[in-house]
This record gives sequence, C-alpha cells and structure tokens, in this order.
Amino acid sequence: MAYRKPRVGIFSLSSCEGCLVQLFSIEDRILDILGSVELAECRLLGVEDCGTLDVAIVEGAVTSKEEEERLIEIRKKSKILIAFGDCACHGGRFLVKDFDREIDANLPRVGKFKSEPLDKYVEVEYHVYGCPVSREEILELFKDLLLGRPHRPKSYNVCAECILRENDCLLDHGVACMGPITRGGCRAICPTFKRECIGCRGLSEDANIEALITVFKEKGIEIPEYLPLLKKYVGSETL
Amino acid sequence: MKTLTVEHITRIEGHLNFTVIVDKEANVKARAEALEGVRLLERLLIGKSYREVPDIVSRMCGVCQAIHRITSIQALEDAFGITLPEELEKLRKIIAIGGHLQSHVLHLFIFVLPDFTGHKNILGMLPKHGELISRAFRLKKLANDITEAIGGRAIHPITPVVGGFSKIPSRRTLEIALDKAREFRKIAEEVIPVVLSLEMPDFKRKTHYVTLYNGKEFPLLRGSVKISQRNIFKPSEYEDYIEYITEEYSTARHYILKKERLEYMVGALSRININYDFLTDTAKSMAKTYGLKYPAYSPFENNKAQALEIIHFAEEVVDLIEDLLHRPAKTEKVEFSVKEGEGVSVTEAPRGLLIHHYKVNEQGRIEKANIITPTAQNYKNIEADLAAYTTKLLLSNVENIEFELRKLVRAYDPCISCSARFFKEH
Repeated sequence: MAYRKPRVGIFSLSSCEGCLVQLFSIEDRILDILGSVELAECRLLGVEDCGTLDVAIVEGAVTSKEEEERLIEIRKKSKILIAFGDCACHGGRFLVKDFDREIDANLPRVGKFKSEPLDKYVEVEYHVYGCPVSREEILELFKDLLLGRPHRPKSYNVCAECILRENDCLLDHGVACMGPITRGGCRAICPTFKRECIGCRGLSEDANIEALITVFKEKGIEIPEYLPLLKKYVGSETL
Repeated sequence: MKTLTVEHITRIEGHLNFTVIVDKEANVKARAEALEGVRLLERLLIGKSYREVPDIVSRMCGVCQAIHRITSIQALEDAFGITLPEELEKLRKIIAIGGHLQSHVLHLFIFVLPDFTGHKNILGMLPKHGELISRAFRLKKLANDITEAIGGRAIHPITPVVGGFSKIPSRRTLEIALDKAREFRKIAEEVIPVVLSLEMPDFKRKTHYVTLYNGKEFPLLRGSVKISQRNIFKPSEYEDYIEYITEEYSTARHYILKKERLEYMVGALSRININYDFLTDTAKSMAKTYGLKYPAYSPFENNKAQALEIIHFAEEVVDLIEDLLHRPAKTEKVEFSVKEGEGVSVTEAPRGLLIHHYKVNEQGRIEKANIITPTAQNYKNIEADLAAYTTKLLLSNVENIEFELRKLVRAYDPCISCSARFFKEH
C-alpha cells in the first residue's frame, strides 16, 4: 500500500497559545515537519479544512460549553487526539499549586467560570506536558507519530535532568524548588537558570509529596501552603 | 438590514469573530467579538506573593509573554521603590526587543503576506516563495535566540525577576547573541523591502494615536504616555485618561479615552506616528525610499510600521549587546525590602501600549491587579475602522468585502488571548 502522509489538525481552545507559538519556534525544522505531514487544519496558519484526521493536536483548556462541543467534534473525526501543553493536560492550572483554586464567578456569555483539561470530556491518546511544551519533546512527538509508535512522556522527575546538567541543587540554597515532584522533559531549564521549578509539567509518576515536605522541613525551607493541599488532592484524583 | 458575520478569523493570535451590520439608511455598525475563554489571570494573582506574579502574567499571551513578564516586574519594582543599574535595564530591553522582532516577523511574513500574494496561507506560498518563507523563519529563530540568550527561554523567559535577574549571560553568551543580532540585521535589511513595497488598500481614517513618549529615544520600557495632539500623562495617572467598558458580545474588555469618549489606536503605527524622529537613520531612509510619510492615517499602514520597526530594533539590539560587552553588568540583582506599596508600569508590547498595575501589602502579597493589554485598547478603533471601511467598500461596489475586512482586522495584529479577561474584579 502506498504511503500516505498523516492528516494532522492543530487546534487551540483557551490558552495563551504559547505552545502553538513554541511549535512554530522550531524554525529550523518547522518546514520539514510541515512537509512530512498533510496539515489539514490550523487556524493560526490559515489552513481551513473539515475532513477526518489521523492526528488532532489540541492546545488549551476547556472553558465554555462551546469549547466542550468543539472538542467533542474534533474527537469524533480524529484517530489520535493529543493534549498539547499544560492547559490541555491540566486545565491551565499551569502551576500545580493552583489546582484547588475555585473561582466563583459568573461571566457574561460564558456562565460559571471553569478551566478544565481535555480528558475530562474526551479520551486522550497522548499528553505533551509543559508550560510551554519543550521544543525537544515536540520533535519527539512528531518522530513518534511518523513512525506510528506511541508517544511516552518522561516518567522521571526534573531532578533527574537537573543532576545530569550538574546544577547546584536549589534546595541546598533554601529555595522551594518543585523539581523533585515535577515531571521531567524540560531539561531542568528553570533550575539551570537559577530559578526554582514551578511545577509547570504536573506531577512525575512517582511523585512523593510527603517526602518533599520532609526535605523542606529539614532544610528549613518555608513550606508553601499549597503543598499539604496538593497532597490531599492527589489522594482523590490524579493531576 | 444586512448582517455579515465572519467567524474565527484565521492567521491572528486567538479567537475572534466580527459582525458588520448595515441598516436601511446604509448606516454601518461593527462589532469585534472576542471568543477566547476567560482565564481570570488577574483574579488568580490576588493573595499571591509578588514573586509569583511574573510567572503567572507571562502566561497571559504566548506571543508577547516576554513584555508581560518585564512590565509586571517593573510595576512591582515601582511599588517597592527599586531602581536598576543601567546595564540590567539594557538586558531587559534586549529581551523586549527579541520579543518584538519575533512577533513582528510572525505577523508580517506568516500571517499577513499570504493576503497579498493571493494565497490562503504560507503552505500555498511555499512552491513560489519558499526561499522567502525560510528566510522569515530564520529571522524568527534569530530573534528567539537573542531573547533566549538573556532570558533563558524565548517563550516564557525565566531569568527576569523583581530586583534584576536570576542569572545574567556570560560574555561568551553575549558574543554569540551579538553574532545572531548582526545576522538578523543583515537578513532583515534584505527582506523587509518585500513588505515595504506591498500595495496597501486605499483607506484612511484619522483617529487618536497613543504611545509611550520620552523625548529622547524610540521608547519601549520607560516613558510617559502621549495621546496624539493631546496630553502627555504619567504612567501612574492612566486611570484619569483611559476607561474600560464592557460589551455583552465579547469576552474582552474594551477601552476608550475617558474625557473624549472616543476610540484610539495603539501599536506600531502609533509608535511611529509619534516617535518617527527617534527611528534609526537606516529605518528613516527606508521609509523615504518606499514613500512612507508619518503621521499616516490608514490602519493598513500598521503593517509597514512594524516592518520599519524591525529595521530599527535590529540596529538597536546590536548596539545594546555591543554596549554590554564594553560595559558588562556588575551584579545580577539589587537589594530591596518588601513593603506595602502600589506600582504602575507602562511599556510598549509588540501590539502597543501595555499597562500593569499592582497593589502589594506589607507581606508582599498582591491586593489588587489591573492589566490593560494593547488589543483590548484597539477593539473600539477596529470597530470604527470596520464600519468606515465597509461603507467605503459598499460605495465602490467591491465584491469580496469579507476578504478585505479580514485583511483590515489582521493589520492590527490582534492578540485575543491577552484581551479576553472580561471581569470586574473590584
């Protein structure tokens, strides 16, 4: 059977669109990427089509009934649906600490405020984490898609990558770094620039929040108020 | 009565519809309807430590995140009474310029150009204009590399913090950035004429142009605010001059000049209309070569104003990096103490005037936050232009009105994510 380029649609719900901008920031590879697929739909680039898709890359959180309906439509016509970036993966609570933030607001046009991840409404095949997603992981995603193999996010935490870069551990400097419980894949970019990890990629698979609280205590780091709450929350639902 | 609604305009940042209504007497009314979900970022800030603010507000927008970050930091520094050494101010300016350059390149070459080459998008342009598109992507990459050298990451920079930087670039990093800036300048001077020689639609409508002004330079991060042919006001006085109104058809806020009750325009055209004298000689001579005169009153001229700014900023960023290599920053951060206070910063984002305003309590927690984005300020002007342009198109029996109107909206380079924060928080 002749090879057919996968038909790819790129969609955006509510977000800053930074992850889409990141996709177009792989400038030296973007034309190769666009050449290796059939880009069937992408509003940002002005590609409008309506057919079925092999792959739907969806960025942004669901914040309204309209977006919920759009997402369900996208799901119906796509074989593989990818939650692209933290808004799509976690509902735009891009700092894990905002997970419990209930904002009681009624908005014109929209109604009660909400900001939800895609998998609350539809089945999601693959997640690409991060705020923004990393360029390296975008390339990995396209390689996986073209080879027809599953895309696997990193299971390890940010520390695993931070150690490889031989960075000074920020915890030793009394900084409340979320690296130990946050999913890797970013090449520990924030600690490399001497900034604490803010947990933008969600929890790593073996995240031990209890242990991090103990480490903070031992090192005399003030325990951020969201950590104990996060621990409680994770008990009932995965982030 | 006739109604034309254009849904989900392509090749702009975010989700926007517009509707044009023509009544029996041929009066035209227009509405710009932001559809982006409301993300309540300002509300999320309340009660948070000042340290978290820059990380959160940069998520307002994926295209102009760098300037959001810097503006929030400047506002908080204003609240704490922090002044930075000149070298750190220069490093911040480099990040801001990198942000402007990548945003303008994306807008002009990837979003706007297909309208003028008769294609639906850049994919259609590739067979004939492939070389131009790859050079545009090269420019975008170089601009991002410049931001990344100082900021650690191009999309949502990491290093700028209240009081300075978490880490400043090494000499070697600055030298590499200088090479990239020079390459950018060279390519820009070769490809920008493509934009400057485009024939823009014949449409003019004079409005008020609002921008930063400091009488010394083409301002980006510091200055007062000037309203064309009117007042100059200090950043802290903004509430006396501009006012926000809400429209039930949009999830965004809209702004007008408070006293005049009139719409106004922000962005590259406003900047050049008011600060033309401070452009570099190369930018001015390009303007002359392509017959551009300022002030210009066509919103379509915003495209060419952005193109001229690319030339201007490309030169400025080379100068800034050279300065820093001669006189490197001595320190990453300045000492300061957290105290109760209120601070405002007004800057120029790629799409125009950006205002951040915070009130902080004595623990450094946010009590009040107000962010006014460029696109939110432009909506009323976009609506007025849509109405006026539709009237003109109807009179001259133009067939493809919808195409022309999309082109008009696109000229503003609107950024819907930034603006969609319809919320009355006080």
